[in-house]
Amino acid sequence: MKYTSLFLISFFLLFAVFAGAELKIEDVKVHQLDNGLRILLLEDHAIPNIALYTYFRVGSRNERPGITGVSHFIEHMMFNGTEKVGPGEFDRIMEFLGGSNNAFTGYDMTGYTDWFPKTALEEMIKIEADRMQGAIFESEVLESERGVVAEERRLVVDNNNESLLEEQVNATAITAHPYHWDVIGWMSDIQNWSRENILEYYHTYYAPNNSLMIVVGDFQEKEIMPLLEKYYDGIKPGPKPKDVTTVEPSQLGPKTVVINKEAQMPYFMMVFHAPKCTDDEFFPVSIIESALMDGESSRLYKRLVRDEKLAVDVSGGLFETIDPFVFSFRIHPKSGVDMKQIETIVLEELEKIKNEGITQRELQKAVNNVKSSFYDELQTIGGKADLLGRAEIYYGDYKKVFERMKKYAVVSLEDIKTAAKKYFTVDQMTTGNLIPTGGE
Amino acid sequence: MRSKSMISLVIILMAVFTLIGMAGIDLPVPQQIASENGMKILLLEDHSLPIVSFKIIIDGAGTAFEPAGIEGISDFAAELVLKGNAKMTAEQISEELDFMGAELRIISNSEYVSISGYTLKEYLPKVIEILSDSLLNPSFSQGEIENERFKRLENLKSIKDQASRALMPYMKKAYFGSHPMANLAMGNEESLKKMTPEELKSYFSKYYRPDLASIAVVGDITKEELEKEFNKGLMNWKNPGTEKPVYKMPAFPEIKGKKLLLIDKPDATQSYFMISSPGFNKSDPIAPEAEVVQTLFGGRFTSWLNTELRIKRGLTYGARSRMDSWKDDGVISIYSYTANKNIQQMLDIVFDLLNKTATTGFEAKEVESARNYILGQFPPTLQRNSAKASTLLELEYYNLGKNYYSTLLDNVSKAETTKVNKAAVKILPSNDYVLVVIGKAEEIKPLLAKYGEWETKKVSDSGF
Repeated sequence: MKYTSLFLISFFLLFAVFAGAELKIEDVKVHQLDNGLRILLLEDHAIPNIALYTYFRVGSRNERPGITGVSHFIEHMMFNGTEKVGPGEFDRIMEFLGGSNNAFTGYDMTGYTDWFPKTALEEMIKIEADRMQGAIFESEVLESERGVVAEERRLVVDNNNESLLEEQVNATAITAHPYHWDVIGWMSDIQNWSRENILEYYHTYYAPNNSLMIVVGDFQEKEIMPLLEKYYDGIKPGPKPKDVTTVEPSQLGPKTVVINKEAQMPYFMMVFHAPKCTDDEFFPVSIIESALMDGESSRLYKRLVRDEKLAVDVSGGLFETIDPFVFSFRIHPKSGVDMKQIETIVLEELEKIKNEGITQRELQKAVNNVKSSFYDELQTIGGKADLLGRAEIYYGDYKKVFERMKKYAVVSLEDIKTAAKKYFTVDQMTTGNLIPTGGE
Repeated sequence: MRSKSMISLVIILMAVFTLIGMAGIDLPVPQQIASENGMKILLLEDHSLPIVSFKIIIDGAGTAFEPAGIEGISDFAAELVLKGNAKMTAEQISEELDFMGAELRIISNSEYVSISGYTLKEYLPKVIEILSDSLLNPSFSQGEIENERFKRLENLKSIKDQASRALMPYMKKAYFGSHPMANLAMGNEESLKKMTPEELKSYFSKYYRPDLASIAVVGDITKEELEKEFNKGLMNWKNPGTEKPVYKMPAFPEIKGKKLLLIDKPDATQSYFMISSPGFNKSDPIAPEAEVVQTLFGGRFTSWLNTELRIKRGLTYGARSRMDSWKDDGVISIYSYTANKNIQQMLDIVFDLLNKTATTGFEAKEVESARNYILGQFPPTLQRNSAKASTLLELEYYNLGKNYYSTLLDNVSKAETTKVNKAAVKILPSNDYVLVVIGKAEEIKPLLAKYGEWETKKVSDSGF
């Protein structure tokens, strides 16, 4: 109770500051087309450019064994040809107009991010609308792109010891829910997706009623809406995608993964089941992440790297996810260090938080960091588009971009202890060790 | 169907050209704040968000000007600057910065050391205080030196686990040999082990002086507020009054013929390659045409390299080129990676493309596309306060003039195809280059034999 008044103060301070920030929620204009496409518009005339983001509510969470990685593969294929725009043409047209783009696939969503001079607006809307349902997945192109994704997997997982261990640890901790596999998918699935499976998946999830468009930049609402209607109105809504109903069963005891591999350095991981982002407990757990691992002053960095000199670095934490995923500890131990020693220390530090909690200053640190990265993102049109889009996808409403801040500010020290006791138990723990073998 | 979209493209393109004027591209002229100690201070006010970024460069303190035999001292000393001062221990500094959600980072480049800061406005006084105390009275304590030494030695080992991280250090050594540009910021095992506190301190006192420092501040702060904060510390940074140290970049090594180096990494399933050859310096008038060449050859998604290696053949996830330019000279590099068995096919394509730039060259339409791309992509690069601060200092450091970017982009918009193709022949590698490949030698050695004589090293051999 002692801290209640302090929290209220920091809560109001946050709000006072946000009210003066450049992103004003009333400046965001919302439209919805008849086919279900939801559109968020924010005019920003600082530079003569526009960020046009299209987010689909689909990710590896919507996959099943045999087609793992297909969400990410479709992201690649979205650049590889429709009836109207040939393979690779999307990028050529866009770059010719002075634009660039990127795309990403996550556990829960897939995003297409375009940045271009305002003069390219109509053509960009035209080609984005065209590929929402028009990708043709031509066989020869599909096979070539399958090779690209296989290379990507070799690069980011197979030739990367950290990712290799992480994939195994997550797959051991999560057994039933589709978060069991990594977004890139298993290599054997990458090699075996059929064109038929891919098309079915694409037509289910790439529909206006399953997507969200966010446009931020140098345009006028009255000029962009007719263009969006012109190119998107004709796209038919898709069937309502099936809900993901699998719930990860409770873990009843600790699990361990060991990888023996030629390497110069060992690698240590430990994960616990974590709350989903819409659980109130997500915020205290995320503050625990900050106290334990954010910066060189964090508890684990201080203990493992500075004081006991057992490790080179410490990182980890939890992701914003629609369903419960994991909270991870990723540690590079010094060569020759007994991994058991690292494990013991992580558990000791967790015990301390369960029993004694964290300090008021550690809590304020977490809030300061959230605020600091929020403003950092607000500096760019792309950052604004992403903040609004994520709030909408993960929290159901772009207005929650501010509410998220509020949730951090109202966490109490007691909430931290309660969350620590609930989530960081030995029975819900999975550890992973990568042990270097061979070599010279 | 495709031709239809091309017609509308032409129309839109004309619009692009008329609408994107080059005026207004340059940053506003920053305010200058006078100092008595010789420190250059620039300020750009931007009150749209309650945040401030700044950047400092310390001229001459970079890796290329390190005393012989103590490779890595520049970055090692730089790191120690923020690891304790007369008022605060390293732990207190990091605790304070972490608490504020602020950043204060220091790194060594080849020519200078840079310190970058970012903070919420409300914490700026504290961040500036830490910065001043660190620059004026760093501790260089034995404990912190040992901590840092240990971390650096461990880092050296971990780099070789990832071929992608090891590629550049191997190339630097192979390309520059005994030239100081070969110095790696991370140092080497031998130099790290023997570096003494006295050497580190004397290195610091030689270069960290106000008359070698320039600072740019961008964000939610007025000149008066900034002066007030600087007067509490930074303005008292004492100019030693002695001659500035002499540091001169020796001429870059001449690359004659081809030098081939194979790094054997027995656990690699992929092979990584990098080809480097001589480039040009920061103020070379070839820059506008070179930007177009870089864009078309390996600087964007539909570049020749990425089109042939990724888009058409799926050999890799990405293939790129880059141009690194410094005050006196530069280097051009081309790099990618693929499954071990495909490395020969990949290199053949790269050499074919290089050959094609010299024979057929880029078409007018491609050049036009690259011009649009460079012009269209420029404005977003200067959105962040930190980018503005870096740019202000870069213009100053390389003496490029305040209209540099508008002039550069104006010249890009006028770059003709024939001039672009001439520039391509001039800057892209042809007969004289260094080629480094990291991969599983047992598998790829036979595939590489056709390119010539390879020097082979094991990844487990010490150093790069």
